Amino acid sequence: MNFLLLLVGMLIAIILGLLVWTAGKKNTTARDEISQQKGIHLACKHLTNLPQLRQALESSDFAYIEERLGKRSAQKLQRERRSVALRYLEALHEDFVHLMRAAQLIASLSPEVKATQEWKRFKLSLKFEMKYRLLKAKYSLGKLRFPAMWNLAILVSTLAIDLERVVNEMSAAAVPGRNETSTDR
Amino acid sequence: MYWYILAGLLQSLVLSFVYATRGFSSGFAFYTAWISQGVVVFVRWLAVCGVCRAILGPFRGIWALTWRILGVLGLAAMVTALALGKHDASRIITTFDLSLELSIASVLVGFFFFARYYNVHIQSSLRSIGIAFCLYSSFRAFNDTFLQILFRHYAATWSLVDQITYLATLILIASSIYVLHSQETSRIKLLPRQTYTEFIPRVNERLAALNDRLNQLLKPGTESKL
Repeated sequence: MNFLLLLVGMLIAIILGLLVWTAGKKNTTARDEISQQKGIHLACKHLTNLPQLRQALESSDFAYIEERLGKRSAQKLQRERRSVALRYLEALHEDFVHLMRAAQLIASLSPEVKATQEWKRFKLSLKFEMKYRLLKAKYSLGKLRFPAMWNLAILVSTLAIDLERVVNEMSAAAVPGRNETSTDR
Repeated sequence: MYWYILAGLLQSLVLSFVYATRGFSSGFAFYTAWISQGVVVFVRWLAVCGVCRAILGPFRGIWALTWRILGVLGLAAMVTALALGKHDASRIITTFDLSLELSIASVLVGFFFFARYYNVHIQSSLRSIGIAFCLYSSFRAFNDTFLQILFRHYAATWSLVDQITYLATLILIASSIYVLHSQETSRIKLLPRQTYTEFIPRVNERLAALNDRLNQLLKPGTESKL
């Protein structure tokens, strides 16, 4: 087959693939909702379950169960607990995605954005996604213990607290009479 | 977009007249067809810019960033296609056409990527217009490539296929414009300037810290130190 045809064909296939991926998504956040900050979900629900998870993943807890129920039952329980921990990790990721969306929302509603900051965030969120997947794989293999997850949970939560404070400031700024910029379509 | 539809209709009228009076294979018809095509593609470019501006324009900050990146992307796609295409006298026009079409398609995909990344709501009619333009440009670029390779053997098929897709695109765009006018436009309330400058660098710092921590977690044997 001709090289030019193959190359242009591949380029167009990539363009169409990207078109389906980018344009196919239904944007759920309506513009009027954006202006009222209704699309922002900041509550880190995962924190309330952290103590139980800590106990479930403690090695002393596992040893106690093994002693009381026997090795086989303890291993079964351990598997179940690992799947719960994995789900927790997924929930943590979901929280992170919500926080990122909130940051994108703030950027999109700002009258001026800095290319360096936007590029940095884009790069960091991509890195986060990749590392999260690697971490998840590592956790599924049982190579990660509770302190690692605890650290991750704390970092995501701190980000949420920061964001919540800014959103509160934004809501306060939206009160009529305050300094705000507006535009018409 | 009105100008694009008008330009398309005018081109059809002019070409019909030229073909009828000077003949389809005449040199005059050849130049009229390609020059008018150049004008139509240019107007299509303007229409594409209009669609992008209608969607992202109200978001002043990200629009200022987006149009610059899309400009670079469009230029890069154009240069790539110009370098890839054939440069002999008979094919140079289709090479230019290919580069313009590839550039429009790339810009539109880049634009949709930005809209998705920033979670910007796109009115369905504007989305349809963008998709129609992108599909048409992609298709035309592919058609041009075939024409470059097969040349005279493919000319008749190229023309027929192009006309069919062009008409389909025009109908889709016209109907979307009709729907667009019946839809309400909403007002975007922007945030104070300092919100971004205060908040976003902190988010990025936190993300960098998160990534560093993930790096440490992924290194074997370092978990206990965390």
